[in-house]
Formats: sequence, structure tokens, C-alpha cells
Amino acid sequence: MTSPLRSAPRTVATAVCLLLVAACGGVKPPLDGAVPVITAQGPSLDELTRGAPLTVVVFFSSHCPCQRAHDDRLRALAATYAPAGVRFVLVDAEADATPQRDEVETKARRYPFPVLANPSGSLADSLGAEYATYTVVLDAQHRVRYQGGIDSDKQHLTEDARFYLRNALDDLLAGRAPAVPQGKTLGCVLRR
Amino acid sequence: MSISRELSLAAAVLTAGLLRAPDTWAQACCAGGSAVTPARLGLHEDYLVGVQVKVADVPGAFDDVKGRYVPGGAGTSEVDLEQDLVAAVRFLHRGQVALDVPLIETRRAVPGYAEVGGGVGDVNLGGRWDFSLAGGSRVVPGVAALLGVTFPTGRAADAAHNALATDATGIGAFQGTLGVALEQTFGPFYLGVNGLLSLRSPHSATTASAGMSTTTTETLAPQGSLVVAGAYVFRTEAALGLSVACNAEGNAIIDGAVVPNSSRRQTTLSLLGAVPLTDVWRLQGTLYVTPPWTGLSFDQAATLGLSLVLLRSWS
Repeated sequence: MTSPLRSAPRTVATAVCLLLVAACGGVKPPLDGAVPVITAQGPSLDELTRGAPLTVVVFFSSHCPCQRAHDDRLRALAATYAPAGVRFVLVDAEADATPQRDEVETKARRYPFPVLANPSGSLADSLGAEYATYTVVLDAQHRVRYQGGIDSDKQHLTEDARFYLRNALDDLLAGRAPAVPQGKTLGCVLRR
Repeated sequence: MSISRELSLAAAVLTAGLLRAPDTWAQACCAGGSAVTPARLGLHEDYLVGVQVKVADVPGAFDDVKGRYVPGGAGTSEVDLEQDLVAAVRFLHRGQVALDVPLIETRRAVPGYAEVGGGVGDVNLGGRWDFSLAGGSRVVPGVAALLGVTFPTGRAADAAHNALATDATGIGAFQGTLGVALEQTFGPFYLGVNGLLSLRSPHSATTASAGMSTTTTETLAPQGSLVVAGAYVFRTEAALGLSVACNAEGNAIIDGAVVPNSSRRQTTLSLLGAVPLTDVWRLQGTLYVTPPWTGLSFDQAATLGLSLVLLRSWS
């Protein structure tokens, strides 16, 4: 029988390895589905993701040029993946976010998906969002399957752009882990 | 490196920051500037290289008593040209290091004589560490530590060969700079303040007179710099701003003795502009002047100049 003291280093080493694997881009542990997105009374992750195989959460900034440059791209992505049941949700986690302002932004930008105000930044904190256009793809179990930028072009989409989000969604819908589970985010600092 | 060159560098640096400001209408953040480097990486940029071109006219000078502007005499003139190769690289997400290699040319004329000289100036290596980012909080501004070293790769005035010292391109001493940068955004407006302190190493100067050469040890006094800049960032991501920079230093020391009335001060006003050409190319410009108002500058050349910087970045 192995003594607890002798097995302790192995246990610690295993834990460290697991942490390293997690830190290096494996499937992230599931989020608490009861986390409210807007306010304590607002919709929870459970409610936002219910029935969708994948949910794309994009952190939004109303005054960020990079955000504006991605409006068309986001609308196109949402239309492309809607038949597969992929849901898009934008979250305004800046300190001055209000439901009224975000409703105006949703209409002005002709978003086919909602912009939810989260002025407390709780969801940004739990998902590690620092910049606008930071995107997280959650599966039905609220596990983070992709995180980072939408693509590699901040303002002007070029022919050699790397489409991080699109490729990740294609991989996930095909039953594969994303080849690139983390992409670089290029948006503005979220004002907290 | 002359004070005027440092000031114009600081102005250029602020302009470099302005090009980040466009990033940020949420990010007017990135305007500020490491006053020890002429190029500053944008928020998500990993590397950049660039070229800076400057031209300046020196129509006069400020006296060392009351700081009165004295126009150059008839037949005298000075034109300063400079080209800088700059590069910057990011490390550990919050840090960046920048290198500036200047080439300097000067044309001076006095009645009956004119000459042109130049060469490599003092190479500068600057670093910046951002503890917090402008625009990231409504309360806490962006705070950064600045660190710089200037190497005496140029020729000091006392080592110049040309009669009018047009081949002098540096201060002849190492210079270490420490500073802090504060910056914040208010919607499309950016405000930044940089404070810097520079210390110079002693250097030997040899002068020849009547067939005898004399070597002295000179130490320039510590120099303090304060740069305040404000800018407006348009939705097109172009930016336009103003900055005020003030450099001041005490009396120099030669062979252990303080040299009276050798302290200097220079105040520079700059109009700053930046235009992103593409996601990776940007152009920025600075029109700078030492205003000819009494008391703002002492024992310094008066300067009116223009600088343009073209930068290519990688994210």
C-alpha cells in the first residue's frame, strides 16, 4: 500500500499537468450556467444557450472602430451559421452600458442578435474579456471551445486574413476540436 | 543630443502615441507616448519599424539671462535635417522596447562662410511598461514606467572638426532616463502627461589652443522634462492634437566646478497629427516651434520644424 506522503508528489504533478493542459488550450471547464449575464434578474447562461449546440459570445464596445469594422462580418457569420443552430450574443460589458443604449446600437447596426448590457462586467470577468470583439464559443455544456479574436484583420479585411471564429465553428460543427482554439483579439480596451 | 532634438523627439513620440489613439476612440488610449522613444507600439502590435524625417529652421536663439528671443544676425542661418530609423518590439504583453538610430545633417552659415556637416547621432534605446491602459477604467488612468538609455554614438560639440561644429551630432555622454507616463481618454479626447528625469555621465573634452591641448571632464546637469499632450480622435481614426514640452537642466560641471549660467531651458509647442493609412501602415506628423516669448526658453536655439514618420507594424 502506498503511503499518502509518497503519493503526494505524484498527485501534485498530475494536478500541475492538468492545469498546464488546461492553460494550453484544452477544453475549458464548464461555466456556471446560473451566471446572470445582465443583472441578478437578467438572463442566465442557461437561458442564453438553451437549445443551441454552440453559442458565440462577442464582447461589444459602442465606440470602438474595430467593433464597427466587424459589424458586417458578424452579421454574415450569424447568417451563415444560423441554419446549424449557432446562436450569437453580444455583451456590452463596459461600465456605462445600459439596456437602452444597447437597444439603440442593435437597431442602428442592424444586428440580427441581441446586445446585452452587463455593466458589472461579471461575464467579462468570468470569460477573461479585456478587449472589444473578444469572442468566446460555448458548447451546450457551457464549456469554452474557442476564445479570442473574430479574425486577424482589425479594420480592413484582406485576402490573407485568418478567420479564427469561422474556422473554429466549422471545426466544432464537424465534431472536431478547433485547430486554433485561441486567436488574437484586436479591439479596444473595454472601459470598466 | 541637443535639448531641441530631445524635445522634437518627445513631440514625435507623442505623435507616435496619437496613432494609437485612433485605435481607441475607445482607445484614444494609445496616444501618450514614451518620451524616450520615437515609436510606440499600438495596443495589439508586436513589432514595428519606421522612418522619421525631420527638417528644422533655427531663426535665432534665446539668451541666458532673461530668456529673450534674439533673431539671428544678417547672413547667419541654420537648417537641421534628421532621419531616424526606428523599431520597436513587445515583450510580456505589457512591455515594449524601441530603438532609434538617427542620422543628422546640419547646415550653418555666417557672413562669408557656410558649411554642412553631419553623421550618426546618439542611438537611443527606450523601454515602456504599461501598468494600466488608458480607457480601461473611468477612474484609473493609464500608467506606464519609462526607461531609456542614450549612447554617445554621435560626435560631441567639443569633438567637432568643422569650424561651425556642423558635424556635432551628439552630447558625448551616456544618458539614462527614467519617467512616468499618465494618460486617459474621455470619449474621443485623449490627455497624456509624461514626466522624465535624465542623468548624464561625465565625459572628457579635449581642446587645443596655442599648440597645447587641454583635457577637461564635463558633466551635464540632470535634465527634467514635462510633456503634456491632448488630442481629438476622429471616427476616421485620424487624430489631431497639441502638446507642450518643457525641458530644463541645471548648470554643468567642469573639472568639479559648477559653470555659472550654463543652465538651459526650452519650451516647445507642437501640433500633432496622425493618419492610419491601412491596418498596418500609418503616417504621423509634427509641426513644432519654440515660441519666441521671453522667459520660456533660456540659452537655447529657437526652432521651427516639421517631422514626418512612416511606420509599418505587425500584430
